Amino acid sequence: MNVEAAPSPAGLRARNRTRPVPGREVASAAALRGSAGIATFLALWQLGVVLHLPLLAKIPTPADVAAAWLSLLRDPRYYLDWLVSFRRVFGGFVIAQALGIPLGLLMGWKAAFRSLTFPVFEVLRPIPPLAWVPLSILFWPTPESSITFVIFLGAFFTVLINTLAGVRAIDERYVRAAISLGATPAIVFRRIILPGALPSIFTGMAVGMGITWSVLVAAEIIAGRSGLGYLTWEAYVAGSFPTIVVGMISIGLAGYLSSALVRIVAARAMPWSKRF
Amino acid sequence: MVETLLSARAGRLEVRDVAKAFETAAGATLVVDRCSFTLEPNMLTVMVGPSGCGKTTLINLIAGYERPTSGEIVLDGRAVSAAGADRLVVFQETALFPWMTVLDNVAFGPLSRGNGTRSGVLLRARSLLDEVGLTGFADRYPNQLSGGMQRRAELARAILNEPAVMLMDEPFRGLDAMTRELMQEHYLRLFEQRLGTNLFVTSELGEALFLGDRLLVMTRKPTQVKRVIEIDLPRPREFHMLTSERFREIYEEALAALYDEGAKSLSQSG
Repeated sequence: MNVEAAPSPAGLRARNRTRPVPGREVASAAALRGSAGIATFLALWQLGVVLHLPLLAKIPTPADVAAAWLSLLRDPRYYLDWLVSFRRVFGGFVIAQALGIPLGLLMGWKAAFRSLTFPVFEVLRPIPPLAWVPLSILFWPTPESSITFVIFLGAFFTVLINTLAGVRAIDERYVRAAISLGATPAIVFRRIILPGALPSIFTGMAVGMGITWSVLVAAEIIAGRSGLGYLTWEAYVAGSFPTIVVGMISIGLAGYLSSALVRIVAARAMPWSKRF
Repeated sequence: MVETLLSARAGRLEVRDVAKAFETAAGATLVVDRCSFTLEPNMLTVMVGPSGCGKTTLINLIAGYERPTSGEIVLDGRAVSAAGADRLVVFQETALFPWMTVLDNVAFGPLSRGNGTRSGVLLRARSLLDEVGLTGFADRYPNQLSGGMQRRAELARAILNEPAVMLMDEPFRGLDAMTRELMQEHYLRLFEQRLGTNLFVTSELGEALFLGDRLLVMTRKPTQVKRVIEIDLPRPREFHMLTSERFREIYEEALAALYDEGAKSLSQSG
């Protein structure tokens, strides 16, 4: 670590910022620690099963799971399950953003619209998405559309509330400064309200993305005939324990990848922010 | 030519018998009462008063963010009814937009109003950034700048917008002493080159006298003008004037008026 003797371009940049940019050395050290953490977790899991620790006795070992995974990787249906689940999650998620963000912006910006709509959303919001399953099966023509609808609900309220809160948290100074600089209401909305609410909108997206995956699995178990959630359930019915764990890990990976995608989009959309 | 330029943005602002009351849980509180003064074009008027006396409320009224309860504020013969680009506030804390680069911040006003071509505005913005010593920082975001640099960027943004009246609400508060002196110099140089109508609110009497042409000493809340003192120090102002005999005389006169108010507000609250 000879950082002081030969400052890298990144190091020079970091010196001029109020919050330093982590150097490459720090990033690779974090990656190393992360890998060590996963390895330790797998080792403890293997040890627990071999030693017949309580609760772990009937769990397949990491080796069994890896074997089951390898055989699944040769099965085209496994890839189809990934695809189907991703399509459901992103379908519901995108519709939730497309409706939730504009509604949240409008509710945050216009007090009259807020007082009109807020009570309705406040009553609907605490209803767990899964409580909507029976009704949505009756309502929607296909199981596919009812699954998408329930996923949509999972992300919709989160992004709506976060967008609304983001708009309301914008410091009055910025709006006043913009008006004094001659900005019209349309410019204030586009260049102050929207970017000012972005950090909160992306927080809502990240949380909402997590919710959609947990909703998806339950929805697939109840109403699906495919997908990663259904794969896990099917493995349970068939008594194939290693495949259950493969299904679980697949869902975990899928959720992680989706959240990473939100973070990447957030970092691109907000170059001024170091929050994501 | 010069005459038409000046009359286009004459910027004579009159505060006429203004009062402002706020509704609170304990009833209406009068913050400003029977307050009258005039901001003359090409004059730097400075305002001092006991802290919390209502100076910021006055700024908000002049800017048009709030409406007076009674009385009126008149700019070049027309009553002020809302916020507009002819009056610009530089706030106590930075109001640079965090999501825009320094250059976009500085160019925001003219670009929003469609005042000139984009390339022309950006060119003027860059040369103003040079003038306040921010060459090379145009593409940074505000949070990558020090406090003093943010203030200078904000000054550049205010000046590029060419308001008829500039309202400075304790803009250098919270800066360390060195940076503050540097900012005073920057501000003085910009004012002495461009003039225009300026109101500078501060809680530092020394700063007020060093910068201003005319001092308004305000009373405690509900505030009004207690004393008007002409600061007849020559321009351009230099730091050595801070130790001149004339400066000391004005300082003592202003301090006496201010101390009187301070003592009253202490005995009132105690």
